Amino acid sequence: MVFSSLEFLFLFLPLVALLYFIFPVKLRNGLLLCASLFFYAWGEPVYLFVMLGSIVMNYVFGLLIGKASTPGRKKAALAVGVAGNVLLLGAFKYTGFFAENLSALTGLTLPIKEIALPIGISFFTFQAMSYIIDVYRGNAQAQKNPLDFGLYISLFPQLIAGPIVRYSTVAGEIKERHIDFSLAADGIKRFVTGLAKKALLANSAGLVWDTLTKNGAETSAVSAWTAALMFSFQIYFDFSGYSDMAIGLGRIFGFHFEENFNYPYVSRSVTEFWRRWHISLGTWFREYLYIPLGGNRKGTGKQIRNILIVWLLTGLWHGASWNFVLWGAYYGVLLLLEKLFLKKFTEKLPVFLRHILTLLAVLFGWVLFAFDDIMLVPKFIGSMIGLNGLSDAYSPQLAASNAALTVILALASLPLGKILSERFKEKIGEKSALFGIAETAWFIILFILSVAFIVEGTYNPFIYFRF
Amino acid sequence: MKNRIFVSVFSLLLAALSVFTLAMPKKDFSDNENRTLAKFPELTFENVKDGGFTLGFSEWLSDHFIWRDAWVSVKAAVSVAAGRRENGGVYLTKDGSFVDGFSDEDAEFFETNVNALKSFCETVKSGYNIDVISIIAPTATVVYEEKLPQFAVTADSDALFEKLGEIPGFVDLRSAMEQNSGEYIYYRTDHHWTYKGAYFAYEQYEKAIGRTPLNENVFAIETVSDEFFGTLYSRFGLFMNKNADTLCAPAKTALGEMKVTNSKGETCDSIYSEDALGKKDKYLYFLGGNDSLIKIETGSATGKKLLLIKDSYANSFLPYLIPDSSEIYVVDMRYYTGAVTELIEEAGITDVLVLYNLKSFASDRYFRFINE
Repeated sequence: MVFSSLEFLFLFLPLVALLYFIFPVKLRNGLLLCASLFFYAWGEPVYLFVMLGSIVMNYVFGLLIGKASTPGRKKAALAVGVAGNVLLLGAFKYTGFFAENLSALTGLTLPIKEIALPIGISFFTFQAMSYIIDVYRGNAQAQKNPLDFGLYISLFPQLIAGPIVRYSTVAGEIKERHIDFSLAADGIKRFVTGLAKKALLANSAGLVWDTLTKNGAETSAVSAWTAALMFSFQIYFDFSGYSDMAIGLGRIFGFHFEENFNYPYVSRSVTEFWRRWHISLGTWFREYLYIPLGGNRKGTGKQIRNILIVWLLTGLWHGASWNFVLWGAYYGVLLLLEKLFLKKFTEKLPVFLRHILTLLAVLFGWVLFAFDDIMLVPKFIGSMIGLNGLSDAYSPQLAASNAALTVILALASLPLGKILSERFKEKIGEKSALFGIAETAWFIILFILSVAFIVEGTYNPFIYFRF
Repeated sequence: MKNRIFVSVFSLLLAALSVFTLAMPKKDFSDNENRTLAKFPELTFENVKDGGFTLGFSEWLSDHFIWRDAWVSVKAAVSVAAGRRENGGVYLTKDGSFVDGFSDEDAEFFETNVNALKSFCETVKSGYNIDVISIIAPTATVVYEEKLPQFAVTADSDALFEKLGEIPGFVDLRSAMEQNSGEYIYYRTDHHWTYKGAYFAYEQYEKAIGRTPLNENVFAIETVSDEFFGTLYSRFGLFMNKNADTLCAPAKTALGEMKVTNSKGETCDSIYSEDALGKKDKYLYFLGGNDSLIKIETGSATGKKLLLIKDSYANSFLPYLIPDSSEIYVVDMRYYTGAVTELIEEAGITDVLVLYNLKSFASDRYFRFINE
C-alpha cells in the first residue's frame, strides 16, 4: 500500500489510528504489527513471506549474538547473520544482474530468471543488519520478544522507503512510548506536507519528465534541460515527501524517526549535498561500513579506498544496473576530488557560483541515475549540449505551460516556507487564534488539493520503491 | 488546546470522507466523464495472490470516491490556475470553450488515407462512372486557430488541405466555415459541428453536385436539448464550467416519412434517437451513434441512391440529405467489413459521398479498407 492512495488515507489510516487510540497500551504493539503486515501484504501478498523470513532469521541471530559466550562465537554469529542478510538481498535484487553480466563476460548462456523485487527489501534488510550489528557492539540489547522485533522490521510508516531507522534509535520507543495531541498534531502537519510534496509536486514534475523522454534521449537542448530539471525536482519531492509522511506517521503513533532530508538543493558543495540528502542511508554506510573499514584514520590511501568502496556500494544499493554503479562511482570520485583538491579552490569562489556548480554536479548525477539503459546517457548529454538543436516546435508551449510549476518547485525546495512561517509565528504569536486558524486552513487546503490530485491521478509512482 | 482542535478537525475530515464514500450509493456510469466506472473486484485466492484484487480495489475506490467529479474539477482548476490550458489533449480557449487538440501525431494515417481515397475515386469512376464527392471537414482547431492558447502546437492544416486538394471531387469547406466563424458552428463542449456548421457544409455539397441547396427554413430547425455537455468537457475535467451547449436539429416533421434499417435488420421511422436525450452524450441523438451499415429509405422521389461513407460528423449532416436522396446507405468503415464496391453494385448506387472531419480522417486506421 502506498501513503498517497485513497485506500491508505481513507480506510487503512483512520481505522488503524482509531483502534490504536482505543486499545490498551499492552495491545498496541500487536495491533501495529498486524496492521504493518497487512500493509505490506496489500502490495506484495506473496513476498510477505520473504519479510517474515527476514524477521525470523534476524531475531534468531540477535539472540545468538546476545547470548554468545566467547567473543569468537559472537563474531562468528554476526558474520553468518550479515552474510544471511546480504544473501537474501542478493538473491532477490542482484541475481538477474550478475547472471546477465557473467553471461556477457564468459559467453555462457546462464538461465536468467527475472525475479520481481520485493518492495522495500533494501530498506528492511539494512535495518535488520543495523540491529544485529548494534547488538554485537553492545549498543542495544537483543530483543527477546519476537513480536516487538517483528514490529521494528515491519513498522509500516518506514517499511517501504525509509528512513532507514537504526535499531538503537527506536529500541526504547518500541518498548514504551508516549502519545499526545501535540505530537499527533505535529505528525499530521508533517504527513500532510509530505503528501502534498508527493501528490502535487513530485507527480507533476514527473509527468513532464516522462512526456519529454518517452521518445528516447534525443531531443532539443531546451527539452533536455527541462527534463533533467524536472527529474531532479521529482526525485527530491518524491523521496523527501515519502520521508516526511513516514516521520509524520511515526509521530502520530509515538515514534521519533531521524530526519532524512535537509533541503539538499541549497548545498554549496557535493559533500554538503550528501549531508543533506538521504541522511539515514549515509549514516548507515558511515556507521556500519566506512568506520569499520578504518574510515579516515588509516592514511589517505586507505581513506580513498574506503570512500570508493562505500560509494560503489551506495550506487549498487539503489539498483541492480550499471547506471547506478556509475552514479555511485561518480559521487565517490567527486567527493574525493572535493576533499583532496577542489575544496581549497571552490571555497574562494563567490557563494552563488558554488551553489550553481553544486546544482550542476547534482543535476548531472540525476541524468546518470535516471536512465536504466546506460547507453542513453551519452545521447541525452548530447541533447543537453545542443547536438539535436537548441529548441523545437514544442519549446515555447513547454516553457509557457511549465513556468509556474517550475517557480513553485524551485521555491518549495528552499527553506522559504519554514522561514516565513517562523516569521509569521513571531509576529502574531504562536498562541494566537489567528495563527492557529491560518495554520489549520493551510494544511486543510494542502490536504484537499492533494486528495484531488490523487483521485484524478493516473500517474502516481514512487521512485524509491524500486530500491 | 490548539493541538486538540487541529487533530480533531483532521480526524473529522478523514472520517467524514471515509464514511460518506462507503455509505453513498454507487453509480455504474459517470455522466461527466462519459465512461463506465470500475466494478468491485472479485475476492478469489488467485486474484489476491497475484495482486489483482488490491489493484482492482484501488480503481474501484478511486472511481466511487465521494464527490469524485468535484475532486476532478479541483485538479483541473488548479492546473488551469498554474497556466495549463491543455488537459487530456483538449484546449481551453480564452472564451471558455473547449477545442480538441490536433497534432502531427494525430495525422499518422493521413498519407495512407489520402492515397486510399484517391484510388477509391478512380475505381468508382472507372467501374461505375460515378464521381465521388469527398468532404474532409475542417475541425474547430483549424477554423479557430487564433483562439487556441498561446504556443499550442497543432498540425499544419494548410499543408494537409493542399494534399486533400489533389483528390478528385474534393470539396474544401474552409472558406465557408471561416466566413461564418462568428456563428455557432462548433459546439463549445464537444468536438462535433452544430446543425449550423453542418448546414453550411450541406450548402457547399449541393453546390458541388450542381444543385441549389434548400433554405434553412425548410428544415424547421428546433432545439432538442439545451443541456448538452460533450466529450471535450468530459476529457478536460473542469466540471464547474457550466457553459452548456444547445443541441438543435431539423424537425422530424420537416424530413417526412422514412424507413431506417440498421445493420441488425431492425427498422424504425426516424434517424433520431430520442433515448439519447436522456443520456450524457446527447450527440447520439443523431442516428443513435455509429453502426456499420444503415439504410435509409426516404419519401423523396429524386431517384438518387447515395452511398455515404462517413464518421460521426456526418450524423448531424445526414438530416439535410433526406430531401436530396431516395435511398441513403450509411457506411462506417470502422465497423463495416464488406466490400464497398459490392455494395455499390448490389444497391445500384448513383452517388457517393465521403464525409469525415480532418482529425478522424487523418487518424483513422480503418479507412484504407475502403478499397477491399
